[in-house]
Amino acid sequence: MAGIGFELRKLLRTQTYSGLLRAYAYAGIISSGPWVLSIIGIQVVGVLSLSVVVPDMLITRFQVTVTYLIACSLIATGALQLGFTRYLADQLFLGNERRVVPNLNGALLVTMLGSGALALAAALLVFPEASNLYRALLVCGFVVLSCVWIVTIMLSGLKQYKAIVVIYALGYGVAVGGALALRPLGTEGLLLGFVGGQFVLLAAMLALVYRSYPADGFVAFDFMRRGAMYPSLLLIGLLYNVGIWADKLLFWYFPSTSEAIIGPLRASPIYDTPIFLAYLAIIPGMAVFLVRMETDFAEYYQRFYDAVRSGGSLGQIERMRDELVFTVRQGLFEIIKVQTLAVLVVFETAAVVLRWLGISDVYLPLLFVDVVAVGLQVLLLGVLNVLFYLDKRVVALQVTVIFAGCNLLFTAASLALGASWYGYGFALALLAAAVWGAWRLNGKLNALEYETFMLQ
Amino acid sequence: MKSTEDRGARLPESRSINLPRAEHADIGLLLEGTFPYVYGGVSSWVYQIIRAFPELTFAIAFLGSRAEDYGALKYELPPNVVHVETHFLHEKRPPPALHSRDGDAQAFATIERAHRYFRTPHAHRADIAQVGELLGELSAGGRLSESDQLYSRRGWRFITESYRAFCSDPSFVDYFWTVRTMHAPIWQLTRIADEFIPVRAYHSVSTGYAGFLGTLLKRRRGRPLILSEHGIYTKERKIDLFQAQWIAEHRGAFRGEGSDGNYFRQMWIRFFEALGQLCYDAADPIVALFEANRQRQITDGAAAERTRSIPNGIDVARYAPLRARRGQAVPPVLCLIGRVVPIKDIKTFIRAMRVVANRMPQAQGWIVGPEDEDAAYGAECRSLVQGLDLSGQVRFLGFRQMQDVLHQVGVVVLSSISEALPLAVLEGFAAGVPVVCTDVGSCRELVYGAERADDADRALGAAGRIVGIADPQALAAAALDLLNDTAQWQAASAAAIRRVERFYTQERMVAAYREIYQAALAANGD
Amino acid sequence: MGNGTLLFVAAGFESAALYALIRQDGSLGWFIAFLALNGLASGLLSPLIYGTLPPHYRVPRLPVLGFIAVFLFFTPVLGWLGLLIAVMVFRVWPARRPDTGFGQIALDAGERLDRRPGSVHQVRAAAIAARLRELPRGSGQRLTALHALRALPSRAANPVLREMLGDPQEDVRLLAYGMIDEQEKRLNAAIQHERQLQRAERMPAERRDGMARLAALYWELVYNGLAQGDLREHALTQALRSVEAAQALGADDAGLWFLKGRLLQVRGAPAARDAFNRALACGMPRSRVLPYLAELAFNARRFDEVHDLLAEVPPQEVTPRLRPIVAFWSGREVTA
Repeated sequence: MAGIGFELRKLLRTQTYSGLLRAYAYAGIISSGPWVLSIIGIQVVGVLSLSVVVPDMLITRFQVTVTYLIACSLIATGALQLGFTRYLADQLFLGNERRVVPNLNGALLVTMLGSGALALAAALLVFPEASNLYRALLVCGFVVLSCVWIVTIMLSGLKQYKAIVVIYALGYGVAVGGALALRPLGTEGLLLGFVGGQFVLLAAMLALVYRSYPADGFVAFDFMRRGAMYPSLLLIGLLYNVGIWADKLLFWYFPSTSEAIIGPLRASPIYDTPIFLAYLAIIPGMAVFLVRMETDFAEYYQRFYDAVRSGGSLGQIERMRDELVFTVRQGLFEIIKVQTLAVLVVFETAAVVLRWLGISDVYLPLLFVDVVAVGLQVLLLGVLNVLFYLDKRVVALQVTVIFAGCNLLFTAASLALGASWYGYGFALALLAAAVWGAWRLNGKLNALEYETFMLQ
Repeated sequence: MKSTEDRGARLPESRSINLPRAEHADIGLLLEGTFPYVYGGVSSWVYQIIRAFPELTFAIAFLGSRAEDYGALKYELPPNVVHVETHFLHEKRPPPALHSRDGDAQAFATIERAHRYFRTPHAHRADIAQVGELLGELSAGGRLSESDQLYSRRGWRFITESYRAFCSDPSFVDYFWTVRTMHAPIWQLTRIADEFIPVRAYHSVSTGYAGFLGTLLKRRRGRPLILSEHGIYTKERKIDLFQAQWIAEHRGAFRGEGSDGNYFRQMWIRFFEALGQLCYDAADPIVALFEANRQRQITDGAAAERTRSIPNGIDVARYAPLRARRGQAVPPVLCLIGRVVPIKDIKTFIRAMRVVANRMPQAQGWIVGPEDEDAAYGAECRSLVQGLDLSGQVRFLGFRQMQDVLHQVGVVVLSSISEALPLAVLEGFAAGVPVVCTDVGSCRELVYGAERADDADRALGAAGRIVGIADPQALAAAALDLLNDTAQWQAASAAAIRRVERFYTQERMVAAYREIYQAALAANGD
Repeated sequence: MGNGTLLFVAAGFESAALYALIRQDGSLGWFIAFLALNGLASGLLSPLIYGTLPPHYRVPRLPVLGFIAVFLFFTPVLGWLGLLIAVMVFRVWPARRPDTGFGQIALDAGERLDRRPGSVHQVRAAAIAARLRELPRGSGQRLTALHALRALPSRAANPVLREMLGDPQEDVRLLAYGMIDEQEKRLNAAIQHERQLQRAERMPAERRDGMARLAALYWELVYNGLAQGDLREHALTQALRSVEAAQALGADDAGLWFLKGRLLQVRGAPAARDAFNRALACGMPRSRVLPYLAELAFNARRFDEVHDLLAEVPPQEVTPRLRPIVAFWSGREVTA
């Protein structure tokens, strides 16, 4: 889905420094996407509310609730996110543009019913002491977030990157502003603000999508038909999100690292604060990655397959393959470079920033590990994306299995080994998955024509 | 017998149900796109041969394109046909299970040398042994399987290296798929060869796929292979290829450069030439219908000492009574005898009828032959009749027994763009009807007499007229000439009768084949 | 119940739901009451929202209703506000129309004529023919040379192809045949198609345009040399009949008159002149018609007229092939 890439290329082609900056800024915001922005949002709300009115506990409850909403909704929709992305890409390739909106709504309906049922069950059964308003917000927030993840899929296919940035600003502005404004109402107020903001985000994204695609019909379930979505992609989507949250869940429920916050929800202050702060550092890497993927890579990928399909010579095909491989390597190296830079900056400034934010120095070592880890996560995301582009689903599945499995295993080991090992489980799991993925990707790229022609 | 059930299952019920099956037979007839599912000169000839040897049993392997291209049996099977199996080479088969592999190094080295032979057989005579080895590797349990070609890394290397070395067309994807499409039937034929019932001698009625099957069978079973070529298979394939609208040609228009399809056409031609060469290498004797075709076979790589020509023969006595039934006046009827297919160029006949009708309004043009083989072409012909306002003059009679038709005919017309030794002409001759033919195959010999030392044939006189292909004006003029001039007509009719009675009788042909069959059946194998 | 009432009732339920939700003594019972009331309100409101959707969004009915209801249910109050705003936005700010693609380009019969047979092509064709004659028989290059004719317009290529039908080399013969056959096939299919359309019930305007197209197709058979002798005559007759039929149905455009002029001229009919003049009167550019009028005058041995007509041709519009002729007859140098 090269809508955004097309526009970014135009920006880059202006050959000006401001054009370049704008391209990367847009790319950073768009690629980091709702979930990084959401995490940043709740951190901001937390920091800004630290000294004000409400007791700290209420803010912690809010932050933990939202974190759970995000984590659970991502895991719950992970399978559909990836499977449906591919389904839409195929439909657009086949020229079935008019089926996009109906199927999106079908996917949303399925998502709402599924996540709604889950959230309702949780609200009714496992929050005996919570207020009814909290319960309602829990359900509403969970459903809205789940829908946001699904609609986000559509955005990279659209050309209106400015509109997307405006929508994000609007949604997170309302979320943060609303939460701050409704602070006096306690946890429920903060939550109401956040959910309201997410709702604005969802509504605005939907409006943009509805206006961008012609449609025949409003709701369809073609994507549910047998064979419409790849089972392997569903599994990859699920495992990737499980992988991302596995270490956090372990820390939340390991007795010595966690505390109960509200109802069944537990949190691990020593683990959570550094990792969520570290996620701030992935924005530059994500920006570089999106620009590379959506511009050069997408272009050479297109040219490679054009050369294959429309009768290019073998020499042309190989040249395109070489260019493609070059952009992939360059893209991955750039991610590494930018993330290394980010790590260095964090190493230098973290102590000052933490003090300024009023956060204890105790978090510092873990923050350093986490910054490296999330950098690896960007790299992994890059590798996975190239694998999806090349339709190497088996390798992608191996990578996510390694990631999820190692994260569970290594994090459990780090918990057993003691505090100085915290964070290493997550980092090593990412390293293992990224290295395996990159190695297999390299092999696949070297045999690209052979596999394209002979094994498909 | 399990495998034959598999094959039978793919056929419509009505067709597979009554096919005879046997454990063995005397002669294995390898037939491609002809008897018993298609009408035509070759089919009639096969039918003639089978019935001429009631003391021998025949097993038939019918090779077709797709099952839906053929209807029911077109001929009643004589009792000495004891076994019939059908195979469809262009039907979509599920490919073997996909998995990457390396492929056998030695097998691919053999392939490379064999292809060197296919490309220039004269320059690489030494590689002929490799070809034999290659054919051996193809059998079940050999070192080469379809998966090796389709999925192996060596297969990939071979195809890319060949592309770099030889392909003058830039489009790799077209090259790649041309190669795959080309080789698909080869794999099927190797499986057919593995399973064909034992017979004492193989008799292929063309080169091409059937000839290749014969080559494989001879190699595996060591029984003799007889080749009878009517047309020149390779040449006929060329015609198809030249007339095919080339997919790549369409695409060329959009890209403005590159593929004009010409190279792929050449590739196909070379492919059929290679199949032909293999069959010539394996067959003995190699029989042509007339001298020009025998020469052509030698040019195409057949060893001269194994070639001979045996012209078609006809049961003249069956047609002789028609001469008397015609009466004195020459009927103003032009009759084209042949299947309604492009190679017969029926349209030129129809166009000629426009010219004839302008000058002889009472003249009739009949088209006698089945239309089901190429329905689209049939429809085009009918619409041409309409377009030229000839509905009153041109009639499509469908398939008819020639004995019921020929006495009403004034001139037998053949407008084909390619022919061998057309039976229709002999039938016309036997009934005393002069012919107007295009200058293809042995038609010139048939009409004006073959060149011989004793000049006996030429001396018999002209049995009609020869005209150029696709020239309706000339065709019409020649036919009108004969129809309008009774003296000329009578002379041509007499020459026709004399020629067929002297040189083209069934007895002559059967005697020649009796000799061939006896020698083959007596062979101990090698 | 009217829409207004329905909206009012739904809003009532939703308010009640809200009340149940924010009661201070929030027990699980009140939460369930909230769910029920909210559900009722969503169920009542969804048909109203459905009614405001643009028609192409209203199918399939039940799933769309379900989608709206579920959305409203899981986003209490927020969903109400959102959907109401959305409906208003859709009303005042309609979605972009999808592009309709390129418009169809209409071709009149005259446009189908190859306006510049061009000496260049004929020279190329002659060169290829010479090459074919001198290459040794059996040479593969002869096929390639024949293939090169594909790049030329049919009018220039077809005489060479016809010559090659009698070539001793069978491949050459067959390729030439295939190339001619291809063109014939395409034209005859087009003719057949038009004739079939003519047989069907049609509006007079359609019938007229169909006749004009048919005339052009028959003319193409003649012009490209695909019909000889009696068959050419037949095609000319059909073309003329079709032109006349089109004109009887009210066609009065320059292209058709020009075509009629050409047809009559080829037949040697003096009426060609009138047809050309009608074409001029209908707005056909003089530079296209004048050479033909001059040719008619020449054949009728009215040489003064030839001079006058050719002198009238604007110099910049003289085709290269005509240049020496115009120069000779008009007595002026013509440079492009």
